[in-house]
Amino acid sequence: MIPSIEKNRSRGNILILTSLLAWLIVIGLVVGMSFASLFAIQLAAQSMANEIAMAAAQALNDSDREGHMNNLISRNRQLVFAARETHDLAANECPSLRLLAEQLLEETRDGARDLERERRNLLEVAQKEATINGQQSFERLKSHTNLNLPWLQTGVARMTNFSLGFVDGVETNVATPTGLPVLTKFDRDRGYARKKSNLYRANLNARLPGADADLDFNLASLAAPVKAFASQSHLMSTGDFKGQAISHLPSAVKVQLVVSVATKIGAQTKNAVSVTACAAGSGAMDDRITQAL
Amino acid sequence: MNKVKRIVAPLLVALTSLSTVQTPVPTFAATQDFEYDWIVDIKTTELKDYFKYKGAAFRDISKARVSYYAGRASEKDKATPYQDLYYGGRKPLGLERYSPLDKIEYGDNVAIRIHHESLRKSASASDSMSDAEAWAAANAAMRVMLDANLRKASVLVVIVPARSFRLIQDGFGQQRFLPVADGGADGAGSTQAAGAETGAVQIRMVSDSDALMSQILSYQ
Repeated sequence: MIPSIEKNRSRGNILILTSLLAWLIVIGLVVGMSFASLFAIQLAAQSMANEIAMAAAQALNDSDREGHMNNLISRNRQLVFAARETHDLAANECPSLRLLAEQLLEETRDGARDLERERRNLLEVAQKEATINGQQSFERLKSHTNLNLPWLQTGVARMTNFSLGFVDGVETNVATPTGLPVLTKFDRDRGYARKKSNLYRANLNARLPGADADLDFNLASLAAPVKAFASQSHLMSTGDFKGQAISHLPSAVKVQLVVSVATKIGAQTKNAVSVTACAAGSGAMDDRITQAL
Repeated sequence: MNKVKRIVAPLLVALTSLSTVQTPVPTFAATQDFEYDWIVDIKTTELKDYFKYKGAAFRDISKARVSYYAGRASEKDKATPYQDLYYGGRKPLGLERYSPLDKIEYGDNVAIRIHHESLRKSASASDSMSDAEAWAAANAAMRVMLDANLRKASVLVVIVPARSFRLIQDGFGQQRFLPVADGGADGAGSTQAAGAETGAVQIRMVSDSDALMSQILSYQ
């Protein structure tokens, strides 16, 4: 009799062990699938954030408008500087030409004010168009993260951050002038330009000396062309993105998306997956080429 | 008979081809160049859609490329680039200086020549300046004249394309250079010399192809 009881006990143990193992396998599968789903959701959200950032970044320097603006601001600065030099020379050495020199200087200064006004207009347009492009992409893609599985529920993505800025370490696309040595020396002494590249530093108000110091010449960060080739819009590391005050033309975008994640198996838990993407707009083109087009 | 044909035929061909070769006839504009020490060339172009966004105040930009060359030696091929000037909506917007005007010296006679260049592939001879471009050309000429005069050189004349004569004259007019005397009169003198006589700065504008088309403008 005793061996039979022993036999039944071992059979009961195997049953318990088998059911336990089955449960463990089921739980393992659920956990595995949950992690896989979470990973897939994070990938989907990241890809969505990338697409939104790229769509917005492409609008920033559309048709090289920011590159053109930087170039024209630098040329405007040269014009004011040269007109002031001519005016001072005429006043000292040729009084009969003073009035004409004064007229030319005044209209040049007027032009500088108009150009600064237009730069602000472009800033507004670029910000608006980038935001609209980003928003439209977001609206089109936001439901792609919505998932409702028995073990995992994910919500519609939310855009928690959309900011414009520039790429750390990228100066302006404009080099110091070659035909006005006094101005070039002034720029070098003031540290306005990089010594090696001669490019003006990023997001700089390159004010002139003396009587024209009241005028603004805001030069924005923008990748300069390399051997006449402009850099294209591209995704970039989030660590290289620098947010900026709204006074300078932006050249990069940062987007942050959050997707809510919940499970009802066992204890109800809620959490969120957060992803960030950064993209740089296209760089400036070679102005000699764009003028010839 | 065949021998004669063989000799005469190539001769006839050579004579015919010689008669069809056109010998270059110097134009009125080219002959003018020899009268001056320096010719300052202002070539205007319109950069269409330079700024291409909604509400752009300066959509099209007028560009005036200024270079100069020795007139007497007619060294047009050795032109020295001086500067590029940029205009938008009748406002001077930019300058890119390449080199100083230091070849022009005290007492030199200077002529300013304005012409227009179209960037469009379908550009034809009738493709003339726009109003904004004419204004820009006049302004560029004024700036060059001032620079030359401050080097004590005399700007004797501003030579303009005949078909844009009135437009450029209007451009000068809008910038306070108004007609003072009937054109065509000889001995109008330089801007500086005329200024010394009348106490005003003057410009003598002439056409590049019509000797009778000329006008003296005085700064008011």
